[in-house]
Amino acid sequence: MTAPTVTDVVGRAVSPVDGPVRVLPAEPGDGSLTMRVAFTVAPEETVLPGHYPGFPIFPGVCLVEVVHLGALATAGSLPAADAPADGRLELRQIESTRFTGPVFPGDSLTAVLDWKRDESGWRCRAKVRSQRGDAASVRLRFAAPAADPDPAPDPAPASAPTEQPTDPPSAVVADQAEIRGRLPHRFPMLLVDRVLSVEPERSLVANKAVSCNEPWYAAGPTGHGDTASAAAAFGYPGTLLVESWCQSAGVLATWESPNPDVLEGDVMLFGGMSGVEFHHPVLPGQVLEHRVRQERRVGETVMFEGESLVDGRTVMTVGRITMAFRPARVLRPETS
Amino acid sequence: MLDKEELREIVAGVLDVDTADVTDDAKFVDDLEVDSLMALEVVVVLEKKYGIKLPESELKRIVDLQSAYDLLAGKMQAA
Repeated sequence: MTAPTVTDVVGRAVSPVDGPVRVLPAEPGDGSLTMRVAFTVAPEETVLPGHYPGFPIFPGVCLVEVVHLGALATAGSLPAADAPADGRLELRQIESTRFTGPVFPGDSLTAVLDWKRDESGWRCRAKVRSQRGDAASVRLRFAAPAADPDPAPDPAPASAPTEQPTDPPSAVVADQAEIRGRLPHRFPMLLVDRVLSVEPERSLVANKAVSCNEPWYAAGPTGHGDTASAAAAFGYPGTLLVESWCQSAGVLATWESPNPDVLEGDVMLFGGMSGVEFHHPVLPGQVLEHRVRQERRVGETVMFEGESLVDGRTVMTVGRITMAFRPARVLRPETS
Repeated sequence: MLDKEELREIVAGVLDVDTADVTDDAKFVDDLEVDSLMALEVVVVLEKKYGIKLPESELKRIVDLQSAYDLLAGKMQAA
């Protein structure tokens, strides 16, 4: 047997995940469309101090990001008939994701990626495991990068998929101080700036301003790098768009009984999502308007749908996210 | 009318399993490893697809494809 070769792949420059995603060698029996990657959650990961203070948990969206980076790193190794023309792909949709176990600093993750090419692009299904067991199952859809993605709003903004007023409400119903009293997230993972309107148990509109001073941009390229455009090089990570939208959903879910403490009471867990589509890149300086609608609440589980807009144009649609409330102790790693 | 094969495909899609695995009496929780969140997701997808609303008290009656079919068929007839 030869020693396994391991390729270090540094992630996309702008990403919530710092550590390298390593491409592992194929194992006996793996088909040509199966790839394996590994990632170790270093305690120094940028997101951890804010997720959460005193109780670091590797965010669910970062598991999706690890799969995303692993997919980008392995796309070029697909058999010629299935490979993208220049080895590059763009994330278009999180078809579905289920989070099945918490991940903590120091955990070693492995993901098995199964690629499939069809008429609409590339699908990548992945199972993520830690040494403790299953952590997530993720289905992503990719497409070849758009030749010239246009980050500027259309002259006439496209209407949102649902009929909603396009004029954002101007009043602020929850400012930053209020939000910090409602969510346990902190810098750099507190991704809601203000809440513009809320109808408890029904809907909420919140803003988040994207800035190049967010830590994900610290190691960013000085130019376009080898990417086709500024949007490709500096677009806000899709996984963080999802996180920001979900935190807005979290504010809605807990409007009547907020709990900013992850160590006591019932805590909010991200159960999963499906049908999250990315339509346009989001760049530093743009202000996101997250629209969240509560679809259903059954017992301790709440489901939401909605979209995010920039200047009236839909940049992301969220088919469904599922959130569950559980006693804080279920998050504790088993003590031995 | 309610098409059982269409229902089977929808359920398989939500659970991300092969359609063939969703037999009429494969138990979602025990046989298909469905957790409570996924079970609820199935219900919400079906409600949306068929334009009905299932009261919370009836949700636990859905344990496999056949019970989902029976419950939905009953609702659609009543509507």
